[in-house]
Amino acid sequence: MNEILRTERLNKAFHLGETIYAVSDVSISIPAGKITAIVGPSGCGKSTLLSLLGGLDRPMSGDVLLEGQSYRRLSEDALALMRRRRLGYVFQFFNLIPHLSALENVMLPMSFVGTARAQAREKARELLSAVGLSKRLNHMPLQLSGGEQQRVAIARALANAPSLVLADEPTGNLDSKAREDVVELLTRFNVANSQTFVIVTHDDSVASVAHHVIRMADGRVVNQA
Amino acid sequence: MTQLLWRIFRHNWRVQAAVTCLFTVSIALLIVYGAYMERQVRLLQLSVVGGAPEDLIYVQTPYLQPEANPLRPHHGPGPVPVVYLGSWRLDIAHTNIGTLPVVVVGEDKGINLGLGEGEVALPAALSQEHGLSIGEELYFRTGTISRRLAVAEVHNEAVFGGRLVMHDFLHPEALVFLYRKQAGSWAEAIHYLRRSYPTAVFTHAGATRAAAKEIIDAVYAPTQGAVFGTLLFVAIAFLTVTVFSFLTKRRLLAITKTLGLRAFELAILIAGEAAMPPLLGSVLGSALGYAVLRGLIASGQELAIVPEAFSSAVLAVWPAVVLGIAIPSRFAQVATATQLLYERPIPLQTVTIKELSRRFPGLDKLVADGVKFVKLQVDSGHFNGIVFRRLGDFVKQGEVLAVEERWWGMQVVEYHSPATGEIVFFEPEIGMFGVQAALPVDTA
Repeated sequence: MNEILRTERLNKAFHLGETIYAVSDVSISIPAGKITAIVGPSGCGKSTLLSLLGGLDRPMSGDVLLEGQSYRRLSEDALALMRRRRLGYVFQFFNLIPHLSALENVMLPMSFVGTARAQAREKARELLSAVGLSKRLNHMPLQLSGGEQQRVAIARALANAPSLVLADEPTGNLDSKAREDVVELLTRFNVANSQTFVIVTHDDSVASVAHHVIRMADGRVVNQA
Repeated sequence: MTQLLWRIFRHNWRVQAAVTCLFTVSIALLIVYGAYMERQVRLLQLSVVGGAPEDLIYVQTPYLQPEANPLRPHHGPGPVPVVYLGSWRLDIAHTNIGTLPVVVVGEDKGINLGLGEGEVALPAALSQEHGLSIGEELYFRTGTISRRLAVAEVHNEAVFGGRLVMHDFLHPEALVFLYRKQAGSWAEAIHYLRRSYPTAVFTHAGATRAAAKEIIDAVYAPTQGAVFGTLLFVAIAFLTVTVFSFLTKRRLLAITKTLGLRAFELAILIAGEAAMPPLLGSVLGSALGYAVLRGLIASGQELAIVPEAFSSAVLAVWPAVVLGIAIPSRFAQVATATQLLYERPIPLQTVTIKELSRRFPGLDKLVADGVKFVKLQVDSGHFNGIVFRRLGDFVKQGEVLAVEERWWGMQVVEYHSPATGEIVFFEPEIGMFGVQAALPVDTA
């Protein structure tokens, strides 16, 4: 299996009279070009693990390696540059910039890596067309439905063609129709671009399309399939 | 990148405009105030030494002496620091227009205004006040002279101040010896002269100006307190606005951090936004101050456009500006992006405290177990903000549990976790969090 991301005995813990591990001794391998779902009950440490995988939080011990590069020795700025170029994020609550249009939201990550404005605009148009929002380019986030906002967020996550996209409950705040659309989009991009998706979810419909499922409980990986 | 980011971080233009106006008005007022104070200093200085040229040094000896002390040899580089101009003594004259101070020039070195025997020079103000012009006579009596003197000159008070001037070459004893500084600094010139006049008092424009400033500062101390109060108000207002502005952007900062913006890039953006109002206010305030001064001068006020008043006014507000830029910039640098991963907006309702005790009987036990509580402010059953955490989440001490917007977003209230630990109680109806205190694990 060609892996893109690997964790080595990752730990994140708090002491509550006794030591409670939000993430405990997690060693996983994420295959490249596949969809991996991380599932488990609420409070089992899925989101904490995702923040560690994305370099948003630091583990207390252990390491994360993205395409062989260890996070441990990367400074905060280096982690930011890595997120900029190699990672995409999709959040449950979309987190679009409310002052920018859909098109500009998608252009934003490209502007961080120095893409020319015209080129970024063209690429953003393409991505928004691909997610079915070609007629909503200049709408502001508040003028879009939840499903449409999430599709903009997916387009934004894919803007710099990252090798890895991390999604935290991407369908958690959507109705069933929008949920199906998002799952279809993720699957389509995975196939079309061979991009790797790691999705934290409660949603069986998302887990069902995943090539690889990691089950967590009490901060531990209890099953990988 | 700059254009998009600038649009993100500069959305609250009304607040920015208000702060710019505050700076503009403050700086303009400070400029006018500075010009007024400068006028007061100058007037007081003039009343001490008249309109004396700036390079004159008055050496006043404690007793009359027949001639100037010889200057010591000058060994330093360059020319001799001072050149001797002449001497006089001070006296009081009883005249037909009143008792007046008089300068009696004891030698003719060109400073006696070309007066001849039986002639006197009047200061311009006195001449105007009494309508005395050249050729008219003045009855004049001092300790050594008693005669009628003809008004031969009206002097401009530049060297002798508001005193009558006459000469008495027969009795050349003098009390004041006049020198002109021709090289080096004031300190060097005074030091050089002090070797010849060890007990004399030295007066020159620089010294009198400093003394005048000291007196004016003392007289206007209450006003300066008001000015300081204004500056403090500007500082607090600016700092409040910049910090609140940062707080309202925490979510935007977190999003852009997640997208890969580096900490120092965020800091620059926040600093840039914070710096705009004071920069613009400095320019507009200087222009407004200039315009007001020109208007006052045109209306006959004895004010001058003094560059120092402009620079002082602008510099006076910059300590506040530096704080107002540095603090939110630093906050922006350390702002965390992880909160986005846990964000959960939860609508809240309110209940009374009595209902609380009745509905949550286990609360007393939690209190006994050392659980620390945070209460969100709910108003008419509504919490105007976002709750980031939920039951079962692990939180760090000081981490933001929820934010509430007040005053249409101008004020943002953050609710922080009182301890590191687990949220063991969360009741959305009343907006209460309970955090079981914990300590971070040492994972060496």
